[in-house]
Amino acid sequence: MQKPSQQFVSKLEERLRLAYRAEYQKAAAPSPARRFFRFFIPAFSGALVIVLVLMNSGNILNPPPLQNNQQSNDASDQHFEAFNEGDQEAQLVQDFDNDELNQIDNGVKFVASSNF
Amino acid sequence: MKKTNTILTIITALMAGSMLPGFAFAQTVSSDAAAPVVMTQQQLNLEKAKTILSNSLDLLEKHFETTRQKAVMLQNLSQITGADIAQTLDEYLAQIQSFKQEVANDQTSAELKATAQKIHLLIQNAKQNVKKNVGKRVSVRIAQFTQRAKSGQALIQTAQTRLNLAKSHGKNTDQAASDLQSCQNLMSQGNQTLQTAQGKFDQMQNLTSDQQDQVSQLMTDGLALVKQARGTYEQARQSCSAAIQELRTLR
Repeated sequence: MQKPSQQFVSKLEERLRLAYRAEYQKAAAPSPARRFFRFFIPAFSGALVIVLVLMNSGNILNPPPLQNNQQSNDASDQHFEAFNEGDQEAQLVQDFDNDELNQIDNGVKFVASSNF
Repeated sequence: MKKTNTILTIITALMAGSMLPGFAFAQTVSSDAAAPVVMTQQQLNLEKAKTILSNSLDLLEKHFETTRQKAVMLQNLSQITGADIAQTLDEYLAQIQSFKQEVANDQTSAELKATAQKIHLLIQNAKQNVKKNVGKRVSVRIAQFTQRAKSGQALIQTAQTRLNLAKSHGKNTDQAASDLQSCQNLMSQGNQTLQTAQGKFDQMQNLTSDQQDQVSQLMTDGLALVKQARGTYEQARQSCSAAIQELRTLR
């Protein structure tokens, strides 16, 4: 029996290797679901982490606390304190145009209208 | 006997004649004494009237001086120089000094009555002008407060932004939204009332000196509106505080 040539053997081996690889890949290829769990989830969760970090650094999710000058109580109280001074002006008018001034005026009017 | 009678008659006649000038003198003295009594009564009335006016002017001077001191103190407190009540009162105090001199110099009741009428007018004018000046001051204060209220409006805007953000994150913002809406409504209502009050004070400045009653009414109305606005702002402040407190707990 004639010994096969080296070229024939190499060619056969190559064909067998390709056939085996095709069979192996056919048998061992992951399903789309497995592909999803194995690739997409790690990839997207990584991207999500990056997005969350970026959003947080921009104070979008966790805004800083209100500053003192923004606090409603302090600002409004200052305004109202200043506005309450108006009471003193009302008191001034009341103290000026009072019974005493009217009595003085009555005395003066009495002299102006009397016959003496 | 007949001769004796004649002699007695002559003597009596002579005595009577000698007494007549004395009687006439007595009559003169008597009438002279009665005349000063009538004049004193008139003078007494005049003096009484002068005393009333002098005392009135003294009291008026004290009253104006007290008000002037209060006005100066108020001005120092509020730092408002737009309307100077003290300066107005200074002018009236100078007029009071002039009237004091006038009362002392008046000789007749007509002169004194004319001076009394002038003093009465001074009191009426002072009442009106002091109110007008106070009205100007309150008007300036309202303008200042309106300016400050704008920062309050900016605060509401900030709270609104926070509210929208919390809402977009699915937080229950109903209470905060309700409080903030109430705050906005009350602020708007307070601004409106305050502007109406300012209108009253502005209207007061255009009245003439014979419209004293209207000045008093406008002053009363304006001050009542300021008080009402202050109450509304206080409610607005409470609503805003509640809304912001609510938003803090939502974060």
